[in-house]
Amino acid sequence: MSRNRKAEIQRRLSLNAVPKPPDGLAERIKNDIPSHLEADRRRFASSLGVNMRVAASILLLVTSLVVTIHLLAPEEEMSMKTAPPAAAAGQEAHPPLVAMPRTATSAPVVGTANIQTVSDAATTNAIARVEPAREVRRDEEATASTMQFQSGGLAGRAEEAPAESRIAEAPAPAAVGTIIPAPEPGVATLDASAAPPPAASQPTRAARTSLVREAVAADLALGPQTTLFGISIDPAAFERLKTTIERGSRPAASSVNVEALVNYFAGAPKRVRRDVQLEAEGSPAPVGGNGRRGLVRFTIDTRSRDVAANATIPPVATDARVDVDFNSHAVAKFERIGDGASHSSEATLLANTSVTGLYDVELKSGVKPQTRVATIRLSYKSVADGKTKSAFVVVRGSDFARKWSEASRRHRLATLGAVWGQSLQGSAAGTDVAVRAEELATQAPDDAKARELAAAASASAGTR
Amino acid sequence: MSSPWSEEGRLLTAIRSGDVAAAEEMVERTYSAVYASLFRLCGDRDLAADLTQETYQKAWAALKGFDGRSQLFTWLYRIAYTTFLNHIRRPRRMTSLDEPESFDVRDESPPADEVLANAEVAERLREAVMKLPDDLRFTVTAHFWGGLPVKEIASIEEITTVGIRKRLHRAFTILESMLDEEVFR
Repeated sequence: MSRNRKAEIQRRLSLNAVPKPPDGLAERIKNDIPSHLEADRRRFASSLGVNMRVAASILLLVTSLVVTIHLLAPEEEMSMKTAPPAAAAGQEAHPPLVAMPRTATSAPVVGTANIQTVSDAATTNAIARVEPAREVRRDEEATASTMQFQSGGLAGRAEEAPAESRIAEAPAPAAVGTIIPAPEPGVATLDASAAPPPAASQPTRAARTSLVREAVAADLALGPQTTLFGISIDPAAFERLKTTIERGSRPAASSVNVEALVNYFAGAPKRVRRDVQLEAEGSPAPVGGNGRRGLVRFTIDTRSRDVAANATIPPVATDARVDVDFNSHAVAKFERIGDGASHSSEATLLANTSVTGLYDVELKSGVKPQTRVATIRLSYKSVADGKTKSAFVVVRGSDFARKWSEASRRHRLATLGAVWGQSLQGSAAGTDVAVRAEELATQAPDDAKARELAAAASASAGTR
Repeated sequence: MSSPWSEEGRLLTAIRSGDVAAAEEMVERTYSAVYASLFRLCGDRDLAADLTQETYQKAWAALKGFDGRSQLFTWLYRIAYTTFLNHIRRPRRMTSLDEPESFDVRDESPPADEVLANAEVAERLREAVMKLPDDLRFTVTAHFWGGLPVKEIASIEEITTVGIRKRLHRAFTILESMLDEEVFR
């Protein structure tokens, strides 16, 4: 090695071209100084007071909601349902995760008088395209809304990828640069009609490029969303189950909202500094795997914003679209874990929101670590600058070659939450789930969700 | 280099006695250096800020265990480095197709094309460093990006300073083989 080159490497390594720390970083760090260091924290007293009031308000709101639900429901079991009786019946018939009963070829053909088939045909290049058909599980109103949205907004895509080919070969990641067109304004309005009614006093926002989009975003900027892309993120689902289990009863299978449990345990990061961020990961199944069964997770998190309890949550993105594409050379079967018909588009994404989708997959033999298993693509229009942005994450075979325990903590909690939910729906894997959850809780005693899952799984294993 | 961690004995004593003002002073003295180290490791300003915040969160939690055998900043750097490693072991985040963010370069203002060329070479060098074996990578990044003296690194790695210099030499040899002529123009 020449002396000159060594000197050049040292020079390059020593270059001082680093950006200044962003404004406010020092304050962020200081605000994290724990209270046990506290000798004189008067400077932070006011901000702490505000935080405490916000936390108390949120607690009060959640408690009120839970109490209201319990008061309105005629029976305990009914109070735990997100879906009505007709939907519940369908859910009970839904096979558990561990069974992997559906195959890519078992989906109904396009044109069958089946609501799910319509949505499958319409949302070709998206989640619904990779989701096997099943019975309707949502209430009629929600289903109708979804159908209108999908057939109105995405029917043109059906020709691009026939619904019969449930597993489609994805384009190479390099080809993803093409921005997926945003839904037409009319479609967005239609979707917004299924959202909660607008608040009486909605604050105006800075001028944006599309009046329609602005109206939709403003209408939806009300409070936390409970479904995103058709995936339930109901934060109270776990609490309802826990209450039942703590009373010594086993929850009715139809009352278990598995996708809401997935989202509860996947949780949200401490702070998200991008408008929208996407992460994806695969792993073997946490329990009962046969070596080729695995789970693919994608999670979308939106920017963290400080919002007072009684204030509206601002939107950070509109015209969001997520697209999960499995590689037919690597995947034999796949099924989205959840109860309802998902859809690929979401008119508005609010701040402080996280949504996790989970897929049960069976890999083909001979999948190598570098083999692409799935590509998750996300596009959205930023509210801040009006620009359309895209991103993708590729999940490869290497994720499935490792142990489940080597997956990220968020992934393990989400997948274990899913399997636990399915064990409540009838699978016999409840004891294994409790053991796994206990391992998670032991590894991180300060992880409240791991402890909750361990306690609930253990208690439910002993219920009738 | 000015020492952001001077008077650390006084600060540590004050922090351990519950003096938040001392903890804030410690943050003020060190956070820019921690941020710079993390930025050089990850190459993303937002991520570096998040990891810096996470580093201090871990530091507060681990403060009781700091025995003072190494300098405070060395200890902080070690936490920052581990935080970075934990991050890259997490699931892959968004691969954005948007244009990369530009950033304000702190030193003098050379021509734009030179900045871009330098940034490109710096990124390639960063990627090459990330591919070094664990012990060499830590030594190189701690010395050049964390600003730790060889003696300090030797102390926390529990080997001699000669051993650290040998590591650096091996690292340079590997880096030279990874990088092409363009870097050495």
